[in-house]
This record gives sequence, C-alpha cells and structure tokens, in this order.
Amino acid sequence: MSAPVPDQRTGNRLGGVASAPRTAFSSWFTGMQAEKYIGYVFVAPWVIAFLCFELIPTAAAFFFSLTDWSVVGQWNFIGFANYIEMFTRDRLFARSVGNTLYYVVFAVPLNVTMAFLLALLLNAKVRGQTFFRTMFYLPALIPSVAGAIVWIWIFDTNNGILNFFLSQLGIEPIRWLSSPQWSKPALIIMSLWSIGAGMVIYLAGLQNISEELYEAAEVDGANPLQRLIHITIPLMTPTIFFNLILGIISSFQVFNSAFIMTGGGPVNSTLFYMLHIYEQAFTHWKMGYASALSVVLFLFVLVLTLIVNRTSKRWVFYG
Amino acid sequence: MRKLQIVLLVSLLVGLLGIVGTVAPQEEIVLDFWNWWGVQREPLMQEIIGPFQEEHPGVTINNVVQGWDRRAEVVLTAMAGGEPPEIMMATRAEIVRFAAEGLIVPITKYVEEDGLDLSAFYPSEIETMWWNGELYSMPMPTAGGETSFYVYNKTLFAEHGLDPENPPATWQELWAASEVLNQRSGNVIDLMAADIGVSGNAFLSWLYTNNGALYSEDLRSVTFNSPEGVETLQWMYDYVQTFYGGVENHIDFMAQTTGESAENPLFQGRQAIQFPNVSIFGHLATFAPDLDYGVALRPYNADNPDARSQGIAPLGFGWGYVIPAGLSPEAERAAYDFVRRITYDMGEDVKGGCWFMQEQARPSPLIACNEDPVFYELNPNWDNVKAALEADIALPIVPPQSQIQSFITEYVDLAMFGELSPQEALDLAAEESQAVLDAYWSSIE
Amino acid sequence: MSKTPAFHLGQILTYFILIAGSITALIPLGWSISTSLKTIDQLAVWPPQWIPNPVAWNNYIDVFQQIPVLQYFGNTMVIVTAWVVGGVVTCSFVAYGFARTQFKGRDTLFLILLSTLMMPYVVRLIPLFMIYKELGWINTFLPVTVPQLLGRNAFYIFLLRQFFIGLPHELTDAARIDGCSHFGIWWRIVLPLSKPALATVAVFAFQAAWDDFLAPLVYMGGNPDLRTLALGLFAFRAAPGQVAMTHLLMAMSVMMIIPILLIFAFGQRYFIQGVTMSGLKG
Repeated sequence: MSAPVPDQRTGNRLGGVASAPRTAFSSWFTGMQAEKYIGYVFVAPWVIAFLCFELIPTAAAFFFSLTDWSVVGQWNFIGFANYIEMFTRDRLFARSVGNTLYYVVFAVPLNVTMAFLLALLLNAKVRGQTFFRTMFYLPALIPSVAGAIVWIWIFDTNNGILNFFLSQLGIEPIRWLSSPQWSKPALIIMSLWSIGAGMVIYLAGLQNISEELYEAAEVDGANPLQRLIHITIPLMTPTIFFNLILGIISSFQVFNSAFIMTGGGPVNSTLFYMLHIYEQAFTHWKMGYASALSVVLFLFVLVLTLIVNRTSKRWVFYG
Repeated sequence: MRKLQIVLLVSLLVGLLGIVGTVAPQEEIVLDFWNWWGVQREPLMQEIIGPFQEEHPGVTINNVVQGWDRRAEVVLTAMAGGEPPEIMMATRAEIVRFAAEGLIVPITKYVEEDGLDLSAFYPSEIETMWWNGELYSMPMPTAGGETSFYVYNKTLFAEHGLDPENPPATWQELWAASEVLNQRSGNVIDLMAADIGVSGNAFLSWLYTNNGALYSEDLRSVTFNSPEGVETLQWMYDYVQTFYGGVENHIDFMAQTTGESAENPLFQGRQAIQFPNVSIFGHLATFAPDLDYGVALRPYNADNPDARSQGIAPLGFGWGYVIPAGLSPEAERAAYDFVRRITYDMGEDVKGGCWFMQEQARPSPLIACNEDPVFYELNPNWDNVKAALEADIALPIVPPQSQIQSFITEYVDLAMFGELSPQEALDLAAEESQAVLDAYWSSIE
Repeated sequence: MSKTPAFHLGQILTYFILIAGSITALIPLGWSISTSLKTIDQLAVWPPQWIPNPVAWNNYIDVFQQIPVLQYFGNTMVIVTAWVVGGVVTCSFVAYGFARTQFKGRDTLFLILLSTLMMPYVVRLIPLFMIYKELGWINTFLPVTVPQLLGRNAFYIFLLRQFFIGLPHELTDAARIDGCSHFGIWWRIVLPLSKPALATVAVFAFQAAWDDFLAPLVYMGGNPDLRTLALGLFAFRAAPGQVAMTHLLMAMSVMMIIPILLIFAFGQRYFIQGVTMSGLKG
C-alpha cells in the first residue's frame, strides 16, 4: 500500500540540475531531515480540523454512552447499562440491525458494480458521451425532499409508474411501500438511481489508464474482454476499493430515504439502524442510549473496514 | 510610587467604566421568536408583531419561521446547546420536559400580576400548560379539536339514502352508514366511507370514546389494555378488514394525500367521512368552497353504557410558547408580554391570538373568541365545532410519553397487519410501557 | 481497426442500453418537472397525470415571490465556495501527504481519518453545537465554511489519496532527483495530472454544499438572513395545518439542479482521456 520513496542518499543533490527555485525556504523543504517531517505539514490542516471539530464530539459519544443523558437533563453514570439493554431488551435493536444488513448486502454490491459497468459503457467512444453522462448523473442531483415525493408516486401501488410497467409484463401490482416484504427492496431500487456519483468517480479513474496500454494489448492480439480483465480492472482496483469502502460506510448509515418516505414502516420493516438512533435521540430524548447505539455501529463499521482493508493488499494494485 | 499611582488610576477608571456599563439602561430588547406559522400565516403574524412593537418601544420581535422538517434537531440542539430563542413555540410534551429540567421559566407570577382570568380558556386547553404547580405558557392554537369531531359530505350522504342532518353518533351507526357508503373493487378503494385511522393515535382517539383511558388516575399505571381497549382495537381491526380489505389498502389509499392540500380525498369526493383537526375549515374554504359539509362529534360505543363522545387534547401537539431561563428581567417581561399577546389578548381592534385564529377560520382556545359571529358566517356548522371543543378532555402527559406512544404505535401496527391479536398486542405494549413508566417514577422518588 | 458487422452490433446495443437507461434515469426528474408545472388544484387530479393542463409556467416566477431566492442564492454561494476551495486545494494538499510522503503514524492517522466517517452525526450534533457556541460561531457562516477550508472532509481526502497513489512514480521520482520539494511536486506535477479527480471533487463539493440543509439549519437556523436555498425548499413542504405547495417545491428543485448540471457539463472537459498522460511520453 505504500509507494516506494526515492533513495534518500541519492536525493540530496543541492548542487545538481535545478528545476525548483533555490530559496532558503525550499532548501528546508528538501533537506534530508525535513523528509521525515514534511508529511506532517501536509496533513496539518486536516489534523487541526480534526482536533477542533471531530475529536471532542466523537469522544463525547463514547462518554455519554455510559450515561443516561436525556439531552436536557442531568446525566448519571450508568456504566454499561445501555449496552446491556441494547442486546437484551431492545427488540428494535435486533430489528434495525437485520434491516440494515439486508439493505447493505444488496445495495452495496449492486451499486458498486452497476456504477462500474455504467462508467465502462460511458468511457467507450460513443457519440454524445457528455450528454449521456449528464443524464445518468442527473437523478443524484434532485434534492432529497423533492425526490421523496417523486418516489412515493413512482412506487404507488395503484397508479405508480413502476407497477404500470410491471403490469405491461403481466405482473400483479406490488405493494412497494405498503407491505413489509417489499419496502426494503423498494428503497434498494431507489438507491440505484444515485449511482451517477459512483459512475463519475470511476470515470475519473478510467481517465488515468493510458491509451498506450490498450493499444499495446491490441497489438498483442487481446480482445476487448481480455483488455477489460487484464488492464482495466486491475488498474481500477484503487477506485473500486474506494467505492467499496465508502459504499459500506454510507449504506450502514442509510437514513434519509426511510426517514422521509416510510418513517421506518410499515411495521418497522424499514427501521434502519440510523433511524433507530435518530428516534432514540430526538424523539425519545435518550441521547445516552443513542450514543451507545452509535458506538456499536462505529466499532462494527471500523472492524469491517479494517478487514476489507487487510484483504485489499491482495487485490488492490497500486502500480 | 509613580507606577503604583498609575496602576491605581487605571483600576479606578476600569471600575468606573464597569459601573457605568451596568447602570446604563438597556436601549434595545431583541427577542427571537421561533415558530412554525409558515406560508399564509406568516403575514398574519407580522400584523400582530407590528402593533405590539409600537406599544412596546424598545422591543423588537424577530419572526423566525422554521421549516417543519427536522424540527426535533433544531429545537433540541438549541435548548441543550444553550442558545435557545427568547420565545419558542413548543409542543406540550416538550414543555413538560423542559419545565421538569428547569430550562424554561414559569409565567405564573406575570399572569397574577396582570390579573389574567385563566377561565377564559377551555379547561382542557389551559390545564395542559401547568407543570408541578406552575404555569409555563398559554395555548394558541387549540390543543383540542384534534380528535373530537368529524366532517362529512352531506351530498354523498343524500345520494346514498342517508339523512344528511342525522349523521352517525355511535360506532354502530357508523358501521351501518359505512355499509351503504363504502365502495371497494378488490384492493382499490373507490369511495372510502370513513377513515377511522389505523395508527396508535387513532386507537387512542377511539379508546376514549369507549370509556377507556391511557393512564390510571394517579398516572402510575397504563390502562389502555383494559377490556375496553381490547374491544376498541378489535372493532377497529374488524372495520379495516371489512371496509378496506386490509390495512395495506388503507395505506395505498392515503399515499398520495397530505390532508392540508387539494389532494385531500374529502375535497375530491372520494371520501365521505373524515376525522381531521380544526385546521380543516380553513382548507375547506380554500380548496372546496362548494362542498356541502356537516360536523358531528366522534361516535362512541353505544354498547358501553359509560361511553360518550369525547376527544383528547392534545394527542399530537398542544402548542404553547415558552421562555428560556437566563434572560434579563426586562427581556423576560417583554417576552411574556408577547406570549400574552399571541395567546390571551382579544377584543375590538386587538390583533392577538384570537384574531390570528379567526383569520384562519380556526377555533380559538379562548371560549369567548369562538362566540364571534364571523365564525358562523364562515362555517354554518360552528355550533358543532364548539360542542366538539367542549367535549375534549386533557390527556395527561408524563415525560416518557413519547416512548409509550411509540410502543402503542408499534403494536397497533402489528395488530392491524394481523400478526398479533388485539389482546396480545395491547398486553405486550402495556408491558413495555409499564416498565418505562415504572422506571420514570422510581427515578424521581 | 476493421469494422466488422459484429462491431456495428456492439455499437447499436450500446446505444440502445444508453438510451433506455437514460429514459429510465430521467423518470424522477420528468415527474418533478411535470409537477412543477401544475397549479395547486391540479396536484389533486386522480389518477395523477403526466401532462399538466393548463401549464403553469408562472410557478417558476411565484417561487421568487414566496422566498428571497437571490438572497438565499448568495448565502449558498458563500458556503459552496468554501467547500469547493477546501476540497480542491486543502483536501488535495492533505491527500498528497497521505499518498506520497512518509511519516511516522501515517497509516494509523489515515485510518483515523476514515473512522471520522463512521460515527453517526446524531450523537455528534449537540457536542459540536456547543463547541461552535463557545467559539461564538453560532448563527454565522463560520461553522459551515471554516472546517471545510481546513479540509475537514474525509470523503474527498480519501478519493484524492487513492488517485494520487495510483499516479506513476516515474515523473515524481524524476522531480525529486532534480531537487524539487514535495510542495513543488504537489503543485506542479500531481495537481495538473489529477484534473479528472479534482474536477470530480469540485463537482461533488459543489453539489454537497448546494444541497446541504442540516448544518445550515442547526448552526445558522436562528438567523433567517443566512438561509440557503436548501433551507428555502422547506418553506414549501407540508406541515401540520400548512398548505403544501408541492408544485413550487418541484419548481424550485428543478431550478436548483441547473447550476450543478452546468458545472458538471463544464467539468466534463477534464474527463477527456489521453490529455493527462501526455507527460509520460518520451
């Protein structure tokens, strides 16, 4: 995962061919000692932001998970009582975990692969490339409040356009948002309309694969499929890795669609984990308990990310 | 010595400036007023603020209208984070919790100073604003009128052979009328006779018309899983199965509507009976001015000799206006004055809470306000609306209310979807609610 | 390359998929536009109709009368600028540090960076609010601009870091040997090579800032003069007792899409293959 750095011993050539201005300032930047510390300078802005705006709120979440803080009241230490309640008495905890896993297992692979396929399609030399790319990116741009209204109409059991198409194929109307069986699939389908963002990221990655590599492969007699498997995909693995990690992190926190469109229903079939946290925090004012729920989510996603990261050493190719 | 003299002089100057600073009179009091009176109500509020500012020179009211979405985050963050507005529109549940934690100030002393007569309000309205012996706000709009009445389409009644002047008064009459009115083809409801509701809130509304109650008198136990409660839920379930063909069909029917707009099926003639809240009259005037409608009280269970028509106030909201702790005495007084203006003040040429409600064709929590002839002009059914408000009783609220209501909602849902019997559902909900209630009482004792 | 009949078939199939896919992708937007051109009682027509009759073009004008769109636009642009500058400049700066420099604890720090994406906002909201309150930033633009300018956006840093790592080392190695500082490499070599990624970050940052409503709502909500376009949408939403002006909501949403669309279409020129790799030849 780390890029090899040029040999320091040969790098120190202050008297050599110059391509950078020779000021005392830049000399400091190029000195051998500086090499160890220059990285800190680069990450400094983010570190400052982290210390000021991230560290304390995140630590507060851990801290309050051990209390019974009710947002506007005095809080008392209750040790791990919140965690015990979560795993033994909170039925909705188990429910929300199940709902979220269902969503993640389907949404992440679908989104990651479909965005990739779309990017491949739109990277080929077709006319109107810009036009088509814009068309596919558009759905992701609709503000969520407006989008929710539109999708409620699309999924309407009796008059929605989705059931209309299905009826042309002879399929009975599906109760997308009014039955517990279909509500999650409905939200997963809805998430596919936002693959434009992932597509854009893949397109950016695809630009970096040199034409020369493809030309050389063609000369060697490779057909399009072989070029895909042996050139495109390996060189795209860093981007795929990115979309995969981000897909995991964000789908475990799926919230907006359920919040606006279904409110967690029907019968808590779309009660996702984030929605459960939200309700505990802002409806019932059990911020201590919500913190404990958040800590559990945080640790779970962290561990999962670490695992994916570890396996990435085997399949991500950093050239 | 010279140094010491300089130091003394400087400290003296600083001290003097400090005294001058605190003694100098407050020139301007600026009060941020967070409320949810948006769209067509905002100019009305401005018309109240204008004269108020003229009568109170030096006081400026900022009318900050918030969006409804994500209200919880905005309100809680402001209160918990320590940057609340000087006057905030809050639900009764929030008022109870803020008061219990000392985040808002009681206005009892100001009310007594001004000599206000609180019996000017309906009892169920003002009762909800007290906590622990102190008054924290006054109501505007009504908490009542949320569950106590229904509106029906007289034309549809006549077309189907029902007497438009004699609408259903009991569960049994409602069922009979529905048999005549309801039209359903398979899973699609073409004409909905009545929307009795399928949620936990609907259950509570009907519970009280069967002489049931949410809590015991002393608020120590939940009593909604009494035989009356089970009977109520069973009746609701049977109705849903018979007339909607299942709760899913009800959800589908309601999917496209928000109630407060032209999409309301009552306005479109696809629904005969609706159980709305009092804001419906303004919307009827706007979107369906030609609809010939009547108003009647929520039906009660005739099989239960103790049952009668009554509504509960509030079920959802019960708005009041609270003042946070920590304001200067002048600001607090000014804030109270404004709260009084938008709730209590009424009279000829006075633009206050009463006038605000009249402009929206909504009843006011002030009894005398609802006597105004202008209401009768706008709404020939006005006597029935007043009767509905009088039929409301105050729903007691304890701090863990939201959790108890969410348990009821969850289990009523399960019963409606047929996954649990009404008895099982209510017993399970009662079990969990009782646990939460017990935890609350033991924490303060 | 010889054009065999099979090749033509592949092209036809591609176009077919693209066109069919575009139409499908456009359904939500199509319905939004259709609703935006309806009058308020037309919203109630049952069953819902695609073509409004009459077509209410004036909705787009009415929006401007209901809310101060230009003021909101100005406010939004302040936030957008901070996000875009922070993303393109600061985040790429930080990403370079993670991708191309060596320092102790680099990978652990990167993991910490990733982990900041994993703690739900719900429980961080109030503590963060209190921090801003202590700083006196509540009801100003500062909470929604300063952190972004400092690069507090792990998403973009991660994206750019992946991109930078994938860049070939020959160029940067050559520059190092010539004595170029890391800063110089970042500014003169890596940035120009990363135009697609930077364009992506710019477009994403623009869109995120444009549509963000939670942070402005919570941190600036007390000051209506600072409201953004996304908050302006709320005025048209349904609230208890309030008329839902869905047609205006849709009109405003459609209008809000246009600037991002333009930025995206404009940024496409950075997505042309071949331009970026020319430095490797020879």
